[in-house]
Amino acid sequence: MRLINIIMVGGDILDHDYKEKVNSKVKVSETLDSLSYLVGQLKKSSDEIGAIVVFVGVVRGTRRDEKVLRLEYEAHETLARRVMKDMLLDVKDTYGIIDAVVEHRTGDVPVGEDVMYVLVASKHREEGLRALTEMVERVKHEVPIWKKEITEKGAYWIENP
Amino acid sequence: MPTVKVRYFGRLRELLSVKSEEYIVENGATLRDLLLRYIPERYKEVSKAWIETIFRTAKGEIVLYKDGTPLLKDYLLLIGGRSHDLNYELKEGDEVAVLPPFGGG
Repeated sequence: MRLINIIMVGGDILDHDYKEKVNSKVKVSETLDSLSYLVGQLKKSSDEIGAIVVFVGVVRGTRRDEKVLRLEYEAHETLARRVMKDMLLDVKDTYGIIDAVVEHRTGDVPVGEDVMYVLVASKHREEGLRALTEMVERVKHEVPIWKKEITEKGAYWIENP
Repeated sequence: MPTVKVRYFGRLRELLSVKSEEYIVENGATLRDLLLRYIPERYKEVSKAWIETIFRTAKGEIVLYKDGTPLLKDYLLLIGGRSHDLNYELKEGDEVAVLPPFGGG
């Protein structure tokens, strides 16, 4: 499985300084940092940055014809952070981006609230957008986080296809 | 006899109503023994649901590989953060995590 490959080999070819910093680039917690704070932190990381692209995951209020009340998230937090860090290092190496941040909430999240942030800083938007798309997909499929959808009619564990 | 800790997440935590617990297993016991014997014996009332949740079944029977190993659904078995197959022999102090398919985002 890809998850395990990432754990075992991720980031070995990247520069040591960034590997030291990457601990502060991922977060799995009941709260997210503010977007303006995260953008500000990214801007400080390099004067080569020409684009910062952002993905905001939001709790949707409908499930087919059902009204969603909230989502409940849980995570294997230690492993989730490790996978996110390795993923970030891998994407940085693949796309040549300058920096990135990944944050995901745990616990109860009401409809309309933000649940996930992925931000990518790059010299140009093209590589930033490609890196962002890959990171969002990989967070959904490779990071050990689980989601239960609570609707008016029932509760469902949602597994990403 | 080794003592191992087992952690459950998502639908498995909900099914068993427990986040983590310990098992004392016989010397030589494997992950397969843990999942098919020790855990179902402790949770007899949901043992069928446990097995049908994590193993592939057909007509009520677990589907086996040619070598007789049960076929897991898309569940991941980690020991100390590393993936292992069902033939892994449990050791003193092992921490087993049983991970359902992911659903983040």
